[in-house]
Amino acid sequence: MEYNIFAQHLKDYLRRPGFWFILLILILLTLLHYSEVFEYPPSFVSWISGLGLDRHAFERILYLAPIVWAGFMFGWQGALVVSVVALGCMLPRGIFISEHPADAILETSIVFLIGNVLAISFASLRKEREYRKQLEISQQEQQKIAEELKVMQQNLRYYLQQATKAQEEERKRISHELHDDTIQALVVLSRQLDSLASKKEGMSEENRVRLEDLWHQTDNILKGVRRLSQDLRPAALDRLGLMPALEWLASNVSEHSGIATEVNVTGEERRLPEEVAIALFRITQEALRNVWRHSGATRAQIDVEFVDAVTRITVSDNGKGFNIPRKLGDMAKDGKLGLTGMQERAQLVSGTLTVRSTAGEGTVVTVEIPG
Amino acid sequence: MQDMDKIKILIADDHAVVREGTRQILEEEPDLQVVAQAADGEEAVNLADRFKPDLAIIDISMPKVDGIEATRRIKAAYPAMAVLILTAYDDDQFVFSLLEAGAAGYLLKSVRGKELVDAVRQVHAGESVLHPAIARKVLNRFVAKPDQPGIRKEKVLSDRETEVLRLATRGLSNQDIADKLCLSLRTVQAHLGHIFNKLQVSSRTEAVVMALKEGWISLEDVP
Repeated sequence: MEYNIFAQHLKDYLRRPGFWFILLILILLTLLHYSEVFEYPPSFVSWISGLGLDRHAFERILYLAPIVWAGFMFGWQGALVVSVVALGCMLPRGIFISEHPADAILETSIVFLIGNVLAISFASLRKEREYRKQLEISQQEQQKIAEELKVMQQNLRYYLQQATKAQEEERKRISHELHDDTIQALVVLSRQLDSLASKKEGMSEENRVRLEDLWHQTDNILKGVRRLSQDLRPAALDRLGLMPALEWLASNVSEHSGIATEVNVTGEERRLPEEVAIALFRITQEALRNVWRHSGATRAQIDVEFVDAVTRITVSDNGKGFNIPRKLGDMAKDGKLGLTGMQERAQLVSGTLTVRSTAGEGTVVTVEIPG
Repeated sequence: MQDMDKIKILIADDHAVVREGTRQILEEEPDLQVVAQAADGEEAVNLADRFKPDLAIIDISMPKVDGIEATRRIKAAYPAMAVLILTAYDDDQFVFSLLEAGAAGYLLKSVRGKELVDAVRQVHAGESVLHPAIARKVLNRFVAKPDQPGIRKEKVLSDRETEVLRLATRGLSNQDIADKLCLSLRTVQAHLGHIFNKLQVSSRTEAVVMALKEGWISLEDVP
């Protein structure tokens, strides 16, 4: 494993041109360092001697270049390797050939040290720069993702809004169709049966009883269809407005669940835009459905407040309450879609939904919608 | 009935077949006559204006002007014209709104022909009254939402008239009221006639609703 990683690194290094370039420079420098044939131009020699250096000291300084560069390219480990190689190249001359071995060894050591120090600082500088660049990139990416997420969320909300609208429209259409066509047709049928059954002459008792029975069946169908139509969309909501619809809802809940449900209103009742009225109605309906299903309450209350520019409905019960998750959104994960759906519905008309509940002390759901 | 003149009726319903069925049911009776038929609320108001029927049978769901608004307009122009609602809606909320609009009776379209005919005759005779359960709900509604204080009407009824109306609120027929107060049927009818006149209404229902609204009759009077 270790070996594999090492081999992989080595392979990577061998592929980089910088590695070969550094090797080439080391070879060239070493050739120069040991060559007795090559002569520097005299003007150059006099210039470096002006700096207090002889030819070999100058060459030793040149060894700094590949060390520092290796630091740049491969980090401090690379610099260390190259500086050790450079040390290996320089030392034989200092020890065996140089006229002043002590000076030469000192110079070589200084080059080794300075090379490493420079390489380490350059490497860390470079690393920091890379890190910063990456940070910048990741920040940009994060921002981009956040923006995309926002757009997606907006789209989702829009689709949800359209879907909700379409659903309500469809419910309304079917409800009206049931009322305007199906129920009327059943009324006609029921009347014909009634008039037939009420005919005084020329009918056996058996047939009369049968007609009577048919009339009852028709009447039951009529009631069923009427209930279906009302459940889809309470006629009171469209014809009379929010308050009568809520009163219908309360009496309906009281009747079917046995939970005494009351409606109270404060403030001047006003006609709300259809979208707002239907949202408030559906949220109240869902809240009462929850009371019925989960709370075990015996009483529930719908308080409607018409304040300046806000309509607020509070649904409270005396049931057993529940522990609310920190975020209402988390309810969806638990499969409790009711509250999440109510919250979505409120947000679609720029409203807010809050739920307060303490185990054993009932639940209070408040929805507030401007308008 | 001493009055041998036929009861003139207006029918307003946007469903032609249902309207025709209602007409047939009524015209089979010798004392009833359908003088006009309207297909929407606006037409109903116009025809009521033209034919001045004794009684208007109106559906709630109609195009242009719905039955509630039509009732309101007809009652505003002709307080003495009785309005009977015949509808497929069965929620209380409509009953409340219609009673406030001035309707004298409320029937479901699925009623049997005989009940419809009886209701027409009762309303015309000023006899029809609220079902006690509905009367209680209406009262609760008025108690919960008192009409603007200050513009309450002065009580215009005599004690005797209030007594008659209180019994009427309980759903007693004219004969029952007469028995209870040891009066003749005629006297009770006369009392009710005076009440209608004073209150500018055409039916017991409206009289009861107004009395409840104004607080002349209290919660204890409703069974």
